[in-house]
Amino acid sequence: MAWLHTWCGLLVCWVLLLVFAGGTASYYKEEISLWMMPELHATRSAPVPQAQAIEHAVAYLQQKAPRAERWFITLPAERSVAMRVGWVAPAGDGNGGSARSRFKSERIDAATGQPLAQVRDTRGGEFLYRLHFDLHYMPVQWARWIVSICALFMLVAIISGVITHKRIFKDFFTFRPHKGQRSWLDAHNATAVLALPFHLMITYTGLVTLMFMIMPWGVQSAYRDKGGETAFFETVFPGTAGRVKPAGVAAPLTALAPLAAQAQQHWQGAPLAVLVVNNPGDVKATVVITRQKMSTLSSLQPGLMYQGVTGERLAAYGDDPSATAVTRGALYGLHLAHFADPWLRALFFLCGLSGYLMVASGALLWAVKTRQKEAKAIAGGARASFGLRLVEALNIGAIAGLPIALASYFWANRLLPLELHQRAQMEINLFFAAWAVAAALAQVRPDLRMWRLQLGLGAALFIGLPLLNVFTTQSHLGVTLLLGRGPWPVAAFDLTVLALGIALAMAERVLARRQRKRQDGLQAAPAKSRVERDPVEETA
Amino acid sequence: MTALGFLLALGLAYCAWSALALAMDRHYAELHGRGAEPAPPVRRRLRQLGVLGLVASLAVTMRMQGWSVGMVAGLGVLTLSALLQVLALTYWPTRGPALTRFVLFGLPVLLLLWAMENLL
Repeated sequence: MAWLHTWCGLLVCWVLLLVFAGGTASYYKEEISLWMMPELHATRSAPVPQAQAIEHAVAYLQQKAPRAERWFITLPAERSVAMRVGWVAPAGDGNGGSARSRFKSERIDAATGQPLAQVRDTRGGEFLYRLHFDLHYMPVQWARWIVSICALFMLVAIISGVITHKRIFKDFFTFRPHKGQRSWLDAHNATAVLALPFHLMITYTGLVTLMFMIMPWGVQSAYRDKGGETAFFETVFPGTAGRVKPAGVAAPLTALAPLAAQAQQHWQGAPLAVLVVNNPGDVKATVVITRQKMSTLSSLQPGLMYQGVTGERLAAYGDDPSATAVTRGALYGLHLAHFADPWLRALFFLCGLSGYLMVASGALLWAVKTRQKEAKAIAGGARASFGLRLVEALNIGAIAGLPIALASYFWANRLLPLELHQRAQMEINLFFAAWAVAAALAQVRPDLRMWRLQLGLGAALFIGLPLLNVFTTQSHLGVTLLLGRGPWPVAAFDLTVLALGIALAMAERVLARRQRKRQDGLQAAPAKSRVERDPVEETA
Repeated sequence: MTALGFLLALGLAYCAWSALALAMDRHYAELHGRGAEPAPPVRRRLRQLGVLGLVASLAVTMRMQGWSVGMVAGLGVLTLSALLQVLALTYWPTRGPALTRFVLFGLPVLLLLWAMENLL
């Protein structure tokens, strides 16, 4: 069973590191987006009546995208204060491709209906969230298959890890630092066992979020005579309901504010999330309104569908969900953690970090163990095997390279010129460029110096972010924290990256001390010193 | 969750893990010298106290957030407090008991404040 654990973990660990980093950051998706749009930091608008906000949004969309296939109006929520409008431009006239590539969105001021003054073009936390399961630069379907297969491997690795861990209770609190391989095993055990409920939950529920793609057969057979998969998805995701072909006959859209009021009454005054208008301006227009998720475990989001011209109610989804739907909703909800208050959110974030460390220490453990096995040959002058060298290089590129990539993304957000063409994509390109350079350099020279270089660079970039803010924004720590003016999420972001940077710097210092010790040892006993070689604990 | 409730749950769990660790030969020996083992009644008492503390910690989070979300939050608190316990056992093996005692004496104060916050 031990080999199962080893290979299930090792084969996919570098992808898992990316997934863990993106997923952990996504717990603060809205806060990261806010940090990345400093233009919004000063706006503290009074709440606008919902009817007025919706009217403004419709007026804006009428003028901006009258012929759109679909409109989205995202109402302000607790953690995202700006109102967002989005639309899918019609296919044809030069823009082909999927609905996703034709989708555009803007933030508007709910009080005036005007676009918020020059907010910089950025994907913000949304990029990290999508990266977490859609990766990038590849079709979404491929990416989701890759991520699901990696998640499946991880589930097998977790379960087989628990079975093979013979001293799970005896070593429950054990960590023995500065003992080479044993320390790595201890670190791997501690980060895995102590956060085991989280790891099991997040891996399993992660698979549940993609279950209709991984195992579509149940749905296909159960809905064969009931409208097929489309009907099923409309029930599960009401936001996608009412997507019919337009008739091509123009007809004015009914007023949305009364529909919204009606929907809110239907849900006993619960806040609304999104208004979707399919085929606006057509006879066959439909309006779908979804309720905000409540602070319960389940992520079920009921919806109501209206005819877009007459305002007649066509269907209600998810008002009386079945036991299966609630079960899935709870599992899905656990993964997203939208129910979490700030304290619980912080706990989820820490557990995510511990997952990153678990994967990292596991990958390092394999390298340390294998080097130990080859120690005699290497001491005798032979070269490290190809596999060992590859894993060591990939470890540097992933474990120390990812923090560099993440920090570069945030640096790019502050430093790229605002008027740059396709600025948002440029930020993302810089994320991958920085990562590619780090990974390539690691392949060239996978040694202790490279670890120190990359950890040190990651530390400098992360610690530099709050400083960079002083020169590029009006909402740096001096204002948000010292003068106590907020916004608090921005201050918290700065403090978090500062802490991560300090953790990386500490890791770098540990390695520096080790390198010095080894050089001293090298002068004393040249033959023995290359046996022990283990890189460092780190955090991102 | 409120700050007081969170700290109360975390403190309870931390002390509980301390008791459970002290009931183990390795960590008992770290304090009482190599080869020392807790006497069977002491070990039993420590384990009982530990389990009681974990249950109390879960009870606090469940009182605050209902049984479903409270259970999730409670497991998160157990994870965090166990990680802190490991760090304390590793880096302050001799000062650990003093730290636990400090937390333990703070618990009634936290409990009182938390109860007042709930009642008011």
